Amino acid sequence: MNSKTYTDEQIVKGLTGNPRERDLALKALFQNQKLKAYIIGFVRKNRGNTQDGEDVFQDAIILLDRRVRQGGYKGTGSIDGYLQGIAKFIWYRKRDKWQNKTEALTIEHIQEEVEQGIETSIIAEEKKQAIKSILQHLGDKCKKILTMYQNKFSMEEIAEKMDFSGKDVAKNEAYRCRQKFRKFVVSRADYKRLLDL
Amino acid sequence: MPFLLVVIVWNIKPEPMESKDLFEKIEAYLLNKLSPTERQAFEEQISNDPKLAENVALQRFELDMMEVLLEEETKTKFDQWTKESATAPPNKPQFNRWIILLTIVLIAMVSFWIYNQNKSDQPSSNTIAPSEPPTQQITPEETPIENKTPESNDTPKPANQPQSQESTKSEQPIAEQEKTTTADNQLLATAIALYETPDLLQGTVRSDQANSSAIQAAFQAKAYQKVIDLLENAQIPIAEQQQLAGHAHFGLGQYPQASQAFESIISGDDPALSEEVEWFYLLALLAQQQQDQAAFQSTLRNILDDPEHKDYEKTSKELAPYLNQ
Repeated sequence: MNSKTYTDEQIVKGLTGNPRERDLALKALFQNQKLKAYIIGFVRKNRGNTQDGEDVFQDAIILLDRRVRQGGYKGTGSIDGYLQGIAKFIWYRKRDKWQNKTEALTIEHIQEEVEQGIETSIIAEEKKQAIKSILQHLGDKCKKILTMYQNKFSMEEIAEKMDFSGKDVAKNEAYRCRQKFRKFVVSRADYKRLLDL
Repeated sequence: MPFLLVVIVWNIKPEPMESKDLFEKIEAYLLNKLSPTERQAFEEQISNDPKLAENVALQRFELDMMEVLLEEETKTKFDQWTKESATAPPNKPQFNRWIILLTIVLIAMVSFWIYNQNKSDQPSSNTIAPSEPPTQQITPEETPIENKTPESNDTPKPANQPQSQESTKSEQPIAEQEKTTTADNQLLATAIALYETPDLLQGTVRSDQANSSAIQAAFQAKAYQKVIDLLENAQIPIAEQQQLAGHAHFGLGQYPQASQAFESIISGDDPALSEEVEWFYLLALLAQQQQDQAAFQSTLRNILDDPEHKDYEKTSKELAPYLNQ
């Protein structure tokens, strides 16, 4: 299965669908060998290696998934082209960070749509590390509930998987976990600093 | 004083939970589910209310947290799918490729049989002895062109072959010489089937104009031994000599010499020319039934790892099945 057998519309629909549909769409993108080879080839030509290329390929799919779910993908270009643009953006950012460039990034041939929207979907590394640190205090149960919630599991499905008595209990547990996370954030100045105020 | 303490403690406490309605309104705003009008109104509200702004920022942080959780789960799936594909059984297309190769071998064998039936005046001893293995080691008489001493103007020949037979053999195009294939020589048949003489000489041989037209004529006439002889005295860059020699040796069925000539280009400092010959290097190694597996696998992997390589597509199509995983 690869994205050649899926239309762009099916990919978008899958990514915004239920967990099973999401899995199929993600797998279709992940197993698109031609797309993967293109991205790895691009990275290798621009001072990266094969492993860098594979990392960029995976990060690009994750970012594409996020953009589609957030309504950021407008469908003006193909999914493959959009993914290639995201991958180039990711690589140019990484490469320029390594070279300690302080001037503006030079992004070549990247779709305007990618340039304008993609920054808003990227979670800054510092913030990501802070989140991972807080998640260690959240507990496995909360992490599982919130992952399923974000993966578009229904409250009934979450209740069934977590052995709750009903969907209302699942909903309350999800809310409680989020509030627990929020308390950690406000309790520390270094975390509060990361809020987008 | 105690009243003041209470006020200070009150302000240190975490923000009180917002109402469920406000929570869901903020959620809709952050997930782009508000209409443009509602969005604009809400943004105005946020800009006028610092506490609301802080709640929005906190809730945005929560959504980022859930994105990080989802990202970790997705990467776990990627690892799982990678492992699944690594342990998956071989693809059927590889089986089809073997069928195609066997068909090529059979066609080559039938063609050779027909040629032998039609041949009238050539003694059988002039053809390459079937018992002679195609994987010839380099003998001192068949050193590649760059190792020839200036005094040696004679054509290098194996000691056990008469000169007349060698010159007769050497002037025959590869297609006529190498039709001898058996099931054991299917790799050789594949290499020959995949080989196409490149149009090398346009703009290649520049510096020695007197010889270049003779070399060109000999190459086009598939008089490969003559090409090698002419290259001896040609004043052209070594890398171009090696390229021409490599193809001439291949044409003569001298695959060790061909691969050595191509390999000297690949290990040189001209990446463009290196890319020109890597495909032919692989064919020369393949024709030797992959005597140098390490070199074959390394070069094959280099091309397959580089989708921008000029011969990436045909290498993927024809030689990828030979890649050891």
